[in-house]
Amino acid sequence: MCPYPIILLSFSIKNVNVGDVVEIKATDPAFERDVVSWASETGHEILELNKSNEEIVALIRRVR
Amino acid sequence: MSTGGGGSLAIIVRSDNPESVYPALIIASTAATMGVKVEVFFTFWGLKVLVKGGIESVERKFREAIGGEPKGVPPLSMLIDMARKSGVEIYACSTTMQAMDLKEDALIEGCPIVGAATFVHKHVSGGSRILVF
Repeated sequence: MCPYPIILLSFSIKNVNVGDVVEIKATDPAFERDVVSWASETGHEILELNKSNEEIVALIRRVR
Repeated sequence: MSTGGGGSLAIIVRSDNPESVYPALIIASTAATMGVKVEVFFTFWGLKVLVKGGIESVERKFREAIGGEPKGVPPLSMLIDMARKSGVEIYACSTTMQAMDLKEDALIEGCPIVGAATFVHKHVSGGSRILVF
């Protein structure tokens, strides 16, 4: 539910080491676009972004 | 989480209607996770959100307006908690406190009471982007 996926992603990224990868799954349809905006602002890297049925899965690498 | 690299955002909430309170806090939290330094000021009816019991009131208004349980929206207390954890700072308007004859202990914790001069100094002179809900 909005804004959970982005908020959880932000907290998760802080809890891993630089270079590590976080996987986030969300059913919030906004997440597909929001994660791109979020990555653009924060500088972290989207390795994969897939949508199947109603689930969006993103793999994000912590860059800094 | 908020590095400040994304600039500064001030949000004024002057209503305790759900269409004011929820977007304000959702934008606040999200901006904070994206490097924006965010402060939210609750004034006039918005201050009722910060009064003990106020959160339940806003949620009730939301349920009544929608005619059922809102889906996909976190409980307001959780939204406020996520906002704070993301680095959002929340303030209560001193003028409204006086007008409504409220003392500090009537508010939920963690809401410093400030006046217009603080707001102007930080955000108007300070050059923040300002949103009003």
